[in-house]
Amino acid sequence: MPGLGTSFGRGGATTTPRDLAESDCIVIMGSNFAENHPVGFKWVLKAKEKGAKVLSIDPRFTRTSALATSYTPMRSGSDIAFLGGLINYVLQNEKYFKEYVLNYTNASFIVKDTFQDTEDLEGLFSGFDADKRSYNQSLWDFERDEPVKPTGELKTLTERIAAKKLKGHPKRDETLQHPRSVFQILKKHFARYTPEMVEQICGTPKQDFIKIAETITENSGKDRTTAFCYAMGWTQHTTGTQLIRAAGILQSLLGNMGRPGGGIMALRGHSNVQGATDLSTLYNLLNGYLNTPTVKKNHDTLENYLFEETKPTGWWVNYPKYMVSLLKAMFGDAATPENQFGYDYLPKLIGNHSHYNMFEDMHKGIVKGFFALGQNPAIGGQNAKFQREALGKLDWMVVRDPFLTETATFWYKAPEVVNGEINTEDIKTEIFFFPTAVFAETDGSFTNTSRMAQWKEKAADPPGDCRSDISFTYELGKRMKELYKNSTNDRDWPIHNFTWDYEPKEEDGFKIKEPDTVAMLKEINGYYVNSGKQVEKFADLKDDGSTACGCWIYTGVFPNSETNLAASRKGDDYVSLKWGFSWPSNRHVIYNRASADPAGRPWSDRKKYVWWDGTKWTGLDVPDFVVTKAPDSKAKPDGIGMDYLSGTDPFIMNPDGVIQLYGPLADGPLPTHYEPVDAPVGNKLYPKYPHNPAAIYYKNIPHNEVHGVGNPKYPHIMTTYRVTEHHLSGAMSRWLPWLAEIMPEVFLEISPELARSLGIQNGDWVTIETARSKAEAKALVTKRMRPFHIDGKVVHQVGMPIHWGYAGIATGSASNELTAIVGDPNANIHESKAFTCNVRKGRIKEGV
Amino acid sequence: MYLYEHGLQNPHWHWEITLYLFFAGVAVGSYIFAAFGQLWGSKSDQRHSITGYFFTMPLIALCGILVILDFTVSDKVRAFTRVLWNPRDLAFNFKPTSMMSMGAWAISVFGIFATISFLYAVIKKYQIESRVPFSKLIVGFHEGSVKKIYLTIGILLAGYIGSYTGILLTATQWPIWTHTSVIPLLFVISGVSTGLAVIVLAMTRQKREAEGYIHRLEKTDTYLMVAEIIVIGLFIFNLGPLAKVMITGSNGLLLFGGVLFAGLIVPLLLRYRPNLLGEKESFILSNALILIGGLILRYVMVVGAQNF
Amino acid sequence: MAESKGMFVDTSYCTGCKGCQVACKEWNNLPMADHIGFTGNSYDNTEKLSAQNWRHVKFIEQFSDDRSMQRWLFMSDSCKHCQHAGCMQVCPTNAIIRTEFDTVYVDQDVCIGCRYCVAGCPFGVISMDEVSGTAKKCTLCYDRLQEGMQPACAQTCPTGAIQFGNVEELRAKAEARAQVLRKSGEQEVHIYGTEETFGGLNVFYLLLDKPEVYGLPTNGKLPSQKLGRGYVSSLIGLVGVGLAGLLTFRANRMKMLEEQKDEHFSS
Repeated sequence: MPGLGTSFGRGGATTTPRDLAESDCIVIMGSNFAENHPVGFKWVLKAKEKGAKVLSIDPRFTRTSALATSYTPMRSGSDIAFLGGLINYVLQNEKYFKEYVLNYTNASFIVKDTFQDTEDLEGLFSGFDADKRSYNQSLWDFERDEPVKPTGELKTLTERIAAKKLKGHPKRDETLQHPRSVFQILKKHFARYTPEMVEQICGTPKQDFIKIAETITENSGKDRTTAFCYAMGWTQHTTGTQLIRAAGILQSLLGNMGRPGGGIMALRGHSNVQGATDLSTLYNLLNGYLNTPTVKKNHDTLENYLFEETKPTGWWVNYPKYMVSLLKAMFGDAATPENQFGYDYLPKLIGNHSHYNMFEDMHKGIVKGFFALGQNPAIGGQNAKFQREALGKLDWMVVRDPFLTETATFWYKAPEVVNGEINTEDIKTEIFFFPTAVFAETDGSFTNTSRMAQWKEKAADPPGDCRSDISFTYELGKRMKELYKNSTNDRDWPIHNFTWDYEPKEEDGFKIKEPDTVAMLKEINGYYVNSGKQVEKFADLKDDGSTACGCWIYTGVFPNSETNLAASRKGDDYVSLKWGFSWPSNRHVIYNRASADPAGRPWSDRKKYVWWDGTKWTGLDVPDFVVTKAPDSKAKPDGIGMDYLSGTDPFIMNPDGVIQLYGPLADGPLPTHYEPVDAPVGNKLYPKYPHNPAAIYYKNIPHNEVHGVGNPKYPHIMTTYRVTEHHLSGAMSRWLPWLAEIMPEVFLEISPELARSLGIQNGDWVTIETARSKAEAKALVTKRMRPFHIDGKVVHQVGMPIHWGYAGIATGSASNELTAIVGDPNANIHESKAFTCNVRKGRIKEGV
Repeated sequence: MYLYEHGLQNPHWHWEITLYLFFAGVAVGSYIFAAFGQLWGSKSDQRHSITGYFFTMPLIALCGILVILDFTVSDKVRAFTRVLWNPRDLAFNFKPTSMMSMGAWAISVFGIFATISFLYAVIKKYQIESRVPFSKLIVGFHEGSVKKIYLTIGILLAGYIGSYTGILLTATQWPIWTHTSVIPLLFVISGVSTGLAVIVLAMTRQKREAEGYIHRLEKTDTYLMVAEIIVIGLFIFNLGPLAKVMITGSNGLLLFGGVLFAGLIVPLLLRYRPNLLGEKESFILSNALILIGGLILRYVMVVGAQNF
Repeated sequence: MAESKGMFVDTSYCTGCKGCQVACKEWNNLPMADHIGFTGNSYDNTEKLSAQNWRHVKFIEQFSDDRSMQRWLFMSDSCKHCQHAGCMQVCPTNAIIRTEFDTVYVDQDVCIGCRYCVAGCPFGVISMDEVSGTAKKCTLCYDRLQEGMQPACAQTCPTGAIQFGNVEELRAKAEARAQVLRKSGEQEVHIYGTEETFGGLNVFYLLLDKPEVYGLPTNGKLPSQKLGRGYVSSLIGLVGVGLAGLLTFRANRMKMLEEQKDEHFSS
């Protein structure tokens, strides 16, 4: 999650749902919290019970809005304008938390004069290459002092790399008056995001917007904190990453980060999406957010790779330790300093291998085989028809799911096959379907939205021949080893040598044996290679091959061979440090050094959390700081890593130890309002650049046209969303009778105003059209939807849930038939939360 | 929005209960007038009155069968025994708050009366006193010193059953049934009216011999039918806005066309102007229509009212 | 009898997630409805309580045309386990009993399927299971209660909108909660299910609007309270019938006797 990572240093949610109960104001925007995270929402209600304001800002009046203390409408795709308006309000009215901003953010840093703002260039930052659609980010750097090279003996690889790369401290203006100070740049950048502008772009009445601004600022400061909660409503935009950055800037200006009841809650849409991301579900990340080696950088050797990737200052200086320990965990005894711990055998990226590019390659016949493990791209992927066309070009595909999903059955059930557009005979893909065990049929852990790993135990054997994904993967690995055991090819070295010893324990009382997941967690935690003892904390990991660790951020979850902290269940009435294990180091609210003032005292008694007791950092949570580093300790002039930072630098993962209000991303150092690639109106702020100039388009993908600005064929703005009753593509819920019956059919939410103009009655069939394809749904005519008045024009908002497909008990059109494949330049995430469409009465094919 | 009435459940009573309530009405009506005739009538009236008894017992038995058929559990006969006896508590079920329970008891006890009276009618009609056991006792009930007591109890039981068929519906939560108190009154009148029609029809072949008797029964029935028309009007008036359910659509057709027109107005017309069709035809048709009208009334009140 | 058990359903905490509905069906192994489909009534596709749906979450959208008034109310509904239960009153076989927890329970072994309880329930809670042919409804998880557990719905409810416990304690909680809400500016907070509603409901509600808005009766009458007028009505009929009988027979006999007397005298 680069949005949070760029601002604060780590991509994970900065707080926990439990901690929201301590908030004075909870802003829920880009998320339908009550709908999609119904269990965590109880803490929001707890806060409300204690008098907190709960602000729901959403294009639709949702289940969350129903429980909020106020609801504020805004048009889909205008979030940055709204948040920018709040930032501007805070800056113009001097509502920011001065001491916090000065000490804990880079507001005082001076930016080089090569930087030019979107206000100077009518919508672009300096350094834009129109052909590559990307920026030269070096133009945005800070002015820095000359580095002081370390003089002492450099003992480790880590120290050698850091010393070589060390940069000087940034130049600062503590008065915040320098025209090129981050603070002034920020002020200028957002100056035009006035309440009037917000009203014209977002369709939010000015007085409603001001009420929100007042509520948030009144509930931020020394004695009060505001929290922001978001989810896919913010990420699924071509400006998604910057959108989260905007919230980060606002929360930082208000001094709400690292404090109880504050922070930014990134709500995860899946029980283990955090854990999967931690353990390298993304193509460009290895375990623990280490970067996958690539041919595009000098990653030829381990040393070069580490030199490229290591940051000399802040906690990330330890990068080599984590990488070497990971290689030791992967290849065990075979990983030696002589063979670079097997680094050469890691596959290297040769381009963008994200989902869309993978499917593009699949469509071209480059990718020939595909494992779909708990994934349903046939309807879960954007431009679903294209996704199915790509699947149909494969030689083989393995689908593992509890039910025969759309991905497993697309060759005879997909709409284009049923309507005769494509013949089943022409789909050559050989499909292997493996019915899987479900979560209660295997033990293991989930890492939830609070970065908390919680162990769960197997409750029952799976039915018949169903096996868990862990079991399948383990068996696959074993069979590959067997298959290649006689090969002498050097390229098969990793198959021979990857550590793969998770044989089931003999006695667990079940008939079907599962691989030893406890052994896996122990390896993820890390151990000393010689003694086999568990590593207690990631600070103990080494870059010389003496420690092995599967994922450094989890170190501490299994601190000795007997203790699985993920399985601990001793809750208390607040932070509950003895319930599960939250990475890193069981810290619940991260960056919690910021909950104390620069001198180490709590900002206020009401908001005390972590503080300096004279000898060490202590408090209610595990301090997210060097425990013995006094608040008054100065940065060492020649310090590397943590020594580069002072006792008042709480954001230890950032190279400069503070929040990056101004921080580089692929599309700029500051968030800027751009309209979605399908926009009902032009960009009021930057008419020359209606869309994110760095957005990724996939023009070679068939039937993937975008609509552009104000396309008369597609006049309405659509958003997609989930409902409580179903899960993701419905692969686990539309097959369950009890869930299917309570949300049996896909529907389109439209306002009575639009329904009237289109002659649509509640419950009628409607067809929704985009340049990509068509979908049909039942109309749910409701005043929870409303038309927006955007700069003198009426824009109708519609919305459609994502869960349906053509298989299962509850079937219906997938909203992804309509969505386009486009990408946010930072995270490559699509724009399903805001696109335009046409709506007409009737079914796709009448009389069906 | 949630309208209270729309959240309610209907018991899905269909033709079994329709026929049950109809036959119970006929049985009650025929018994009451048979007993009235015996109690209060002249010698010849008393002689003719036994006709009613022929119907009561078989119809009551039929009612029992219909009720059993209506139970939705698979072992219906066992279920029937459980209406009176609760094997779990080893006790009789007797619940004054449950019309179903009270009705079951009333019908069971009345069944004994109906059976005795049936036997009495058989004995009398076929003059087989000597061949039937306990015939002295049976005849004694109807002609002896206990006659008044016996028949009064029988009439009261029959009256109770007549009431029960309506109150069964009133004492529910179903909007149409419970919104008005008129249904028990309507069912009593209709029940007796149909009972009279059955007796009169049955005496078609004795028409000449029992002319006075038949004539008086028909006259009484005419009054009852006029009363019934008034009560139906009252019923619709009493329903207020809910009346829409009963006077529109198929319910309206059945109530106005079937009950009011075919079941009441046409028979009245035929009695008043028998020459329109011929005396005998008018006689048979009018009484048959009364019965059909009574059946339709039960149907529209039981099944129709559930189509809310 | 042990202390009365019941539930306090605080609709101000309900998010309409339907978790209670699903947990109920799962624990009690209730089948999916025969016909499923989109109703168009907000997010409610269950429509009403029944033998297959012992719980039902209601969705009430209250919006003015200009959206100056905008509210979406949720209410998780079930059997109320009335102190004076209509179903129990009308059951002819005593299949519906009051348990040791003071809840209302349909004894499946005694139910015969007469369906009178269906018509007798003022809330439309009870209905027939087509497979067993018996009447079914929420048991307040009688089987779980016997094991010292709480009902499945209450355990599942993520926000604490469904609270299980001793009715007396729950009533105190509800009162306190209503006070808090009234102070915070909620205009129409109602505790539904106090003594005036069928003698008190063991499963009672805190509502944010009038009971009518949620489709709940405010002056409902029990079947037993309707017997009186039923009897009066039929008695009028019976008296009429009796008079008709007198007119038909006795008047005639008197006339005949009169005539006989006249003949006697004249001869």
